[in-house]
Amino acid sequence: MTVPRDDGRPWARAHASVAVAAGGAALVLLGVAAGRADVAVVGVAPLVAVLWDWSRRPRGEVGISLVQPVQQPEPGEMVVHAGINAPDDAPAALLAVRRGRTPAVVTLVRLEHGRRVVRVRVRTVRTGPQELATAEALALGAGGASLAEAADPVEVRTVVLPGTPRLGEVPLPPRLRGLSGAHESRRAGEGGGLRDVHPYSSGDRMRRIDWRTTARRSPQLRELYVRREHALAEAAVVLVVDSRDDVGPDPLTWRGSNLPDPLEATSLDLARTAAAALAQAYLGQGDRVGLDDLGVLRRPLPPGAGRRQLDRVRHALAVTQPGIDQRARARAPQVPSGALVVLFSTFLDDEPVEVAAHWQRIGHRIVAVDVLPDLRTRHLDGRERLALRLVSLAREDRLAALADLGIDLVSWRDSPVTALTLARRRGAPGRGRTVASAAHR
Amino acid sequence: MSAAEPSPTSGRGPGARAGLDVEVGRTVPAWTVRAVVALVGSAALVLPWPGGVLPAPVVVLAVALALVVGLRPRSGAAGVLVVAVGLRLAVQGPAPLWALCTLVLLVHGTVWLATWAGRVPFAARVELAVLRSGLRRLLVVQVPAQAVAVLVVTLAQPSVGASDVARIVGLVAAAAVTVLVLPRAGADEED
Repeated sequence: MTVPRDDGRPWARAHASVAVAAGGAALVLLGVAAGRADVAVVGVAPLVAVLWDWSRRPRGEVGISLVQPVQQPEPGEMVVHAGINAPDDAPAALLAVRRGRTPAVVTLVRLEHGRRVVRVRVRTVRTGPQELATAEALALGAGGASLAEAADPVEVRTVVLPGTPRLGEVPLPPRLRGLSGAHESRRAGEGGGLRDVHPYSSGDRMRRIDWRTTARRSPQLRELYVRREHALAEAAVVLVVDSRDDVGPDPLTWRGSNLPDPLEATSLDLARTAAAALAQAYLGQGDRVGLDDLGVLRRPLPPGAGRRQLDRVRHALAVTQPGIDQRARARAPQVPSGALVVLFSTFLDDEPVEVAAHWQRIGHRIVAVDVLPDLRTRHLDGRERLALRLVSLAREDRLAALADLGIDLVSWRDSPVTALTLARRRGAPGRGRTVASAAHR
Repeated sequence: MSAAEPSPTSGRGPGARAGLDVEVGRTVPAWTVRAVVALVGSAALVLPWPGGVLPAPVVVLAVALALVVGLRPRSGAAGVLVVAVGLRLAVQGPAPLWALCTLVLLVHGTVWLATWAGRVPFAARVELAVLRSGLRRLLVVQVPAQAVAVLVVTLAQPSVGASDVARIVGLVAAAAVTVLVLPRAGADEED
């Protein structure tokens, strides 16, 4: 916030008011010289009005503040308070609010005793660190006949957490882990459904004896039979976000010289939202979820469970940005044994395909989520369309290569719930039971 | 929507493109204020009265000047408009009372609106409360000005100009006031 200070000098006179005063004075002179009081009286009102306005020119500077009350908002609509702080006798101010490189919204607003707080509603579909608004103010004296120096622009930034849209069923890894969780594993244990009926052996609990089966199979009670259940287990899931690309629906912004439209979600926004939604789905059913970044060499978020892990994942996703670390990865990120890997990428280059193939070779199940947004191409000229076509062909080849490897492919722009359900039903190759339902909680 | 209810000022303009809604009181687009400036300025320049009808070419020039004031209110063209109205009055003879009162009102209204419009970009919006509060000040000046106009037409007109001494004294007084109150060139003016 900029704080006003009184430097003792009155505000500058506006050019237009000087011209009006000069014109009025000229008419008064003309009227007097020509002996025409009616001519003089026409110039009197503008002259007197301007002189009156000049006699009340405010002194001091103008300050402006921008406050965004919610610390970690989600995509949608936010409210920012723009406060103008001017000398008491300033009746109006020009308030200019803009966002990014878009043209400013300029409004001439009235001040009450030099103060005014204006609510600015900001709609955003973007996630992560971003500028919400930048505001400037220029206060005007009475009648608009004087003006202050423009207040220094102020900016309000925030980190928007990705939303967590509800998903239905989500795919599971080929191997479940642990002795607790929400999924039935293939091992014998407790908590799951009926696995089989087995002759009693050392270690079986007495309450597991199935007396009806025992009576049918061994009427002489030479052998007891117990009902065995499936053990419960949890899944380990690693979400890997390819943060190297952050491309919008307009291919002309991919070069970086033009910024994407602030009202259009970019690929990284889709990746953040998709990863947060999947994290919520898995954590909601008791699984362990970790997070890694394909574009940055840093310590990954290790798999964990619970509500706080979801908060950690969302915060880590929110601060994920492209171009933080330009060092290339020598190897694919390491993932826990048996974990399901969900890779979020635009697949505009070969690296995510190579990494996915590597994970596939060492036995992980991979779900590739395509987060390239729907493209707008109508405004492209012939050469730009051709360039986009070449890029698209190469991308389609990569997606076909993923399909050839047996990797499940989910497009986040076309009904991801259906695609995820299909991926769940397909399951891992040769393992039909490794599916579960992400209960709507 | 009531007058006190805040209204968003983005519409389909730049705010919609940026996803911004600035909630203020009732507003009007700045271009309407400029249009009103041009209309009122035209009316002040071409107002007809018995013996005071402008020929067509002059009307075109007058409307062109008013349009310049509306389109470029910051340029100081409003001062030229004031002088033009006074010159026409001086040339076309004394106007009747109603015409003089109307001219006083129209000229003042034009320059008042032009001063505000000169500070506001074409695509901006103007909160009506700003104009309402300024309107009170305009009336405070306008009422005495109208009274002076009535006084001039009804009482002083036949005798004005009878005394050269009074004319010279008035001229010196007006010049002195002008020199004293008008700003020095470049002093305390906007850049």
